[in-house]
Amino acid sequence: MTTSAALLESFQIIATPGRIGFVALGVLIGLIIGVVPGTGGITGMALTFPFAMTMDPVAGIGMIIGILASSSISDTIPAVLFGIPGSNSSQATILDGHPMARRGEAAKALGAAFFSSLIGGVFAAVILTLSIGIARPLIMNFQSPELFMMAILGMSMLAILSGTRPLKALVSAGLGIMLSMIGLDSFTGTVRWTGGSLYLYDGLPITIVALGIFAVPEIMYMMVKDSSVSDPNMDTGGGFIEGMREALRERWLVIRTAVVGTIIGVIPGLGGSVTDWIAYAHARQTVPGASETFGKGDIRGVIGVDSATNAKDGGALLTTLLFGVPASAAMALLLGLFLVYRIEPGPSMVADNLPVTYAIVWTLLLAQIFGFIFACVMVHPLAKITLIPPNVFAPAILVIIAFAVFQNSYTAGDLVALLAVSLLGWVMKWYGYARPPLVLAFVLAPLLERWFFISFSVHGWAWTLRPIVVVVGLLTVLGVVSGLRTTVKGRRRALETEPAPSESATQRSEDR
Amino acid sequence: MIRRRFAVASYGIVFSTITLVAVAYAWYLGFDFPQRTRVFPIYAGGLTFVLVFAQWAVDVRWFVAAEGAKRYESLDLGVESEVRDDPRVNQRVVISLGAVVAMIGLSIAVGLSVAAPIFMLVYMIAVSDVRPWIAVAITVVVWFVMFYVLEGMLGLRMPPGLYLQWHPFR
Repeated sequence: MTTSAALLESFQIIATPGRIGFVALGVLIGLIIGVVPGTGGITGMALTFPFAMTMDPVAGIGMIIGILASSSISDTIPAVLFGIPGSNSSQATILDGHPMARRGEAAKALGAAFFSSLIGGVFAAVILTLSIGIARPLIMNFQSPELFMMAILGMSMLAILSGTRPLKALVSAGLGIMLSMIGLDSFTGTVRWTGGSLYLYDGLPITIVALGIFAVPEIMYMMVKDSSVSDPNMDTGGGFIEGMREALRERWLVIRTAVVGTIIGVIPGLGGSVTDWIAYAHARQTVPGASETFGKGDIRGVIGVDSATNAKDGGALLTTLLFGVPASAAMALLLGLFLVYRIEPGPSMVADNLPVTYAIVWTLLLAQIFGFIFACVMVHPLAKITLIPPNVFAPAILVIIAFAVFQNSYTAGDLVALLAVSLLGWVMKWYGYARPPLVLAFVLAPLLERWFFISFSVHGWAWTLRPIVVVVGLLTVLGVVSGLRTTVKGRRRALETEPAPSESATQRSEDR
Repeated sequence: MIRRRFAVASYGIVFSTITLVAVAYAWYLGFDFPQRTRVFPIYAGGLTFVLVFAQWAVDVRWFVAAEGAKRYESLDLGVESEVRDDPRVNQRVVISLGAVVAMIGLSIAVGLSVAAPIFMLVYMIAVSDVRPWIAVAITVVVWFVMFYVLEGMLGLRMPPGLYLQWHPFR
């Protein structure tokens, strides 16, 4: 069967009102779930899984992919409006999205985010279509040494994210690494740094670390500041179209970060937690004047991140469909659903089931478009939320966060851990410790440790000479040197232009 | 003002000192782990200890320097100066910290179904300027979201209390 014939047949498979309706239903569920801090698409996928199993396969897969795609769009909403990541993949959106909301440009930030998400998502779907036949040899070459080097590459982003306070950023990253090592070492069965607590045997959940380091300190800060997220005199609802125009103007940034997101999505194990940071670091490295404006409400920071986070789903779907290797936890669930329907991912998806494969790609494309349209309809009422005084909505958000973190292990330990991490996050915010490096290090350190020991056990030190390892290693060195140069330049410029002490302090604090 | 500046600088030292002690203790414990398990804790822990020690030394230098208080304004702090220098900031920090601790503590003790309305009503009426009926309305909406959307529709589980497992619909 030719590709064009398969594409046509796949379109006929998906183009029935019932199946499109289930994609739309999944998109709606995903949008709602994405707004709830700390839950993310995987929660929605897990909850609807039992229903999807009983449905027609195309409709069931459509609903699940709808949830996956749209939760990546709506998790931007709490990140921009409240400075709270809706999921792990929207943490970097906060850095520029939330300062924009505080300037009264919430709708503009969301417009840019949604539109760049759409472009990123569509781009990834197109790449998925084109690369179905050619990606296999490359992916099959990725083993533990290559994965280890990819994690090292991710860790090198710390050099870019440290801003003008490299020591505090490195302390923050060190704490992140140490926090990630709490719990049972799965290789040796040894318990590390749990203090005898049974709860900590499984380690600290990423949801709790993300919410405690970013969300709760921001809410507490709003309570301390006691003024609405946006100035009430500013027009919060305006600028949505302007935001989309900005995304269009920055089309090359959108495309570049979509490529970054797709590649990260393809690589198993990296997942959503690092996509946003790598995309943000890439945008900060490549956009002119970023060292002065990023972190202070530069719309390009939002555009770069959201394009990549939506594009990663297309990349992740590639490895799941073609190799049966789930690139993330969400993809593992999707893989389970395929197996329930007796669809066996692997080379047969290209050889025997090409129309089904393309139908799944169409579904992803459709979900991206639906997600964009629905999110656009909801954005204006949501942007008005930033005008409400924080002491009115802060208690409600705290309650929802407590509810969300309890879903980790259903024990009081979740709440105690949230409290402890929140206090750490609060002190770090108050004393100017960069928090993104902690979360990035927390996510990557366990992967580093695991892949290092597997690489060493299998290959000895010979793994360091593998071609992809060498190439990624060189890229890492280049990234670190470039990041350090940016940091040194930024510090030098700050020293040269340092005005009165009070002005300088304000400027630095805004750099958070 | 000078006293306040010294106070803020000293809180920074308290944090870096606690971090230094905690990291040093964790690093020390790392040496007792079995051979393979201790590689990362020892190397990463050692590196973190050096970094935290350097930060602690920087903080101490700030604190003991003769012009430390004058240079407080240029300390690398993560909050806006108008918030930091607000005379009521300490009071607000205590209230916000107390609110978070109280809400989580209450949720652990009596469950979120009871803790949520108590916390929300008390906080909104005592701290924010909203009228009581608005506070009640917001509480009811949040309750609705908790029971009907999160628990009922999405099937998420409500955190029960250690001493009270009350649920209005069971």
